[in-house]
Formats: sequence, structure tokens, C-alpha cells
Amino acid sequence: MKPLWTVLALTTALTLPSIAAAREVTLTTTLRDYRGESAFLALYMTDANGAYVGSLWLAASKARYYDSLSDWYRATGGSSAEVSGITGASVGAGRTLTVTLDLADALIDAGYQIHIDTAVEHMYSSPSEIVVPLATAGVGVPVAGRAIINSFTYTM
Amino acid sequence: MAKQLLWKMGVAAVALAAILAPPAIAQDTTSRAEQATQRLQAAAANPAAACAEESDERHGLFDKIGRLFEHDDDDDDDDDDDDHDDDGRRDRHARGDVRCAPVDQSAVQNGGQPPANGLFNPGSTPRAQLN
Repeated sequence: MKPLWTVLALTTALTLPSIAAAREVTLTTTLRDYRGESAFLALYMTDANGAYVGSLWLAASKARYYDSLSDWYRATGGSSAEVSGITGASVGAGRTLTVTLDLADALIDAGYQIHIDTAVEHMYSSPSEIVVPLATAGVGVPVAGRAIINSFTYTM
Repeated sequence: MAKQLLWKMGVAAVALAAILAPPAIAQDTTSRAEQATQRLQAAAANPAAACAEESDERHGLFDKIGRLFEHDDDDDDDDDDDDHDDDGRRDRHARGDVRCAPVDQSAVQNGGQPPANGLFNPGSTPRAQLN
């Protein structure tokens, strides 16, 4: 019986820190029903001082339009290394992009902010259209953008 | 006499050509069909490579045209917005049913290993959905 308890204690000790260190965060962005091409979105994070920390998701199918996402582009230079593995298709008008990420726990309630830059070819370019802190108090609270984002919410 | 011999030789040459040419044409057609099938199979197995290959072919063509007309060989100039499907999927390119990933993003994959920027839990796989 003792070896069983030892194994259980060991696995629990090994598993708990990894659970505590990360949290599944779901970012939901719904666009307004504007008339125009699909939108490019850059979701990224800045620290409490507004300095770029890293990209969360890039909904943009062609690198040649990356510079339309101006705040994000200024911080990253449009480097594909910044968005490798976290890039998907652009988002059509009226549609909802749901991104689910396993984020480090240290980012929550620590002043880090989620930014969303948006751009629609020949129409809008809206840097930092959404800026919200990643905080437990903000969970489920919808935020509207100033251009094409109808609502943005996150859960965790 | 010589004229008659020449005439006969001409007729024989035409007849010989007629006999030999159809199989060659048929063989060429078969060969092209096989190549197309092989391309489709290869493209289905590796769409990104197929697209890169297609892009190279287009560049090659533009290079040739460029020599004549000093054409800008940037094939991205076709502002057809074909990647702007409302459903988030890419338009079909000419080669069969292969959906091409953007050539200039060949290293970028949807929902792959995220960058090590300190934001993501190591080993996690981000995922996205369009509704």
C-alpha cells in the first residue's frame, strides 16, 4: 500500500505546479457587419508599461498586408517568427473568431494588456482597437472596438 | 524516272510519318496526364510545397516576360484578393482541388507550436475557430 501512496504523492507533486502555472484563456472577437473584405487581426500582449511582450494570434493570410496592423507591425517588424504556429485566416464581416490559448498564470492580474489591431483592405486600419487588461475582473465583460470590432470578451 | 522515284519516296515518307506520329502524340498525352495525376497526388500530400512550386513556375514565366518587357516579376501584384473568403478558407488555385497555403508564410501554421515568447504554456497548442 505504501508504494501506491508514494507514487500518488509524487505524481500529484509533479502535476500540480504545471496546472498552477498555466491557464486556458479563450479570446472571442466578433466583428461588425461592415461592407468590405475580410479583416486582418493581430492579437498581442503588452506589459504594464505598454511594451510589446508577444503575439497571441494573427488572423491574416498574407504577409504583404502585415504592415496594415500598424502597432503590432511597429513592435514586431512583421517577423514570421513572432507568429509561427499562431496564424490563421482573416475574419469576415459579422463573423466571430474564437482563440483558445494556454497562457502563463503570471500574466493574469499583473498589468498585462491584450491589444487587438485590425485592418480591412482599402478601408480601415485601426491600431490597438481593443486594449484590455488580462485580469480576473475583466472575465466575460464585453468591450466594443472603435472601428470594426462589435465585441471582445475573454474567459479563463 | 528520277522524278518518279522522288515522288514515291515523298509518299513513303508521309506514310511513315503518319504511322509513327499518332503513337507519339498519344504517348505525349498519356505522359502529360500521368504528370498531372502525379502532381495532384504530390500536391495533396504536401500543399505548401505544391504552392511554392507553382509560385516558382509563375516567377519563371514572369522572368521570361520581364526580359522582353522589363516587367516587374512580383507575382503578388495580382490583387485578386483571393484569400479573402468570408468563410476563412482559401480559394482554389488552378491545380486541382489543392488549397494553397500562402507561399510567403510557408513556415507559419495554424495552431502549431507557439513561439517561445513567455506567454504560452510550453507544449500547448493554440487553436482558433471562425463562426
